[in-house]
Amino acid sequence: MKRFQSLFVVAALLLAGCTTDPYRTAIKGSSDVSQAVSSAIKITASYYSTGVFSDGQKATAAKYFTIVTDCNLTFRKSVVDVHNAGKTGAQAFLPIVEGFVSCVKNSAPVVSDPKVSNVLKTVDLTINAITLAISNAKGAK
Amino acid sequence: MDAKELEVLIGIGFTVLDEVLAMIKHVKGQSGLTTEQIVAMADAQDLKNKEDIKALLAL
Repeated sequence: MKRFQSLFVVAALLLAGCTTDPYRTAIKGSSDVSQAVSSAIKITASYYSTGVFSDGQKATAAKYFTIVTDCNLTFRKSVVDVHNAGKTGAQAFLPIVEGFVSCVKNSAPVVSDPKVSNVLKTVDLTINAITLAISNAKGAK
Repeated sequence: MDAKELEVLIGIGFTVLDEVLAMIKHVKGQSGLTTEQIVAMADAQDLKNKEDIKALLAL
């Protein structure tokens, strides 16, 4: 099963390589996170319905998905606001990404269960990939 | 591993593969869109995710 998840992680990482300008990169990153959450919800539902996840594990994952979705909505709104304010460089967007990462870290439940953390890892990775993608975006330097 | 466990594993494997394909489709689909269209798409996806989380909790 970890092999399938690794494949998923590789697909998510590939997204970080497709860079344009920092604004578009940030928006694409946010959209990728939304898609990663959508996929993780379906995988969690599959795990639960086949008895791999317990009620508690499902609830932990659901809490994490809710927090990421709320933080992502805030992140995307801030990115659009910064863009509308006329700012264009990566330096304008990187603090917002850091805010997104902190938002998830500070609110998400502590997951010590390896089964649950494996499912959440892909979403986490997609969030962290945004920083990398913006740093490498055109006009970032 | 018995037949039941194998069946479960294969079922989960297909779900994960479906999601890998969905991710690839998502990336390819973004390339022809304007940034504003991607914003609208992400907003719609987040709303759907919220509904899907509710459905997940109700399982």
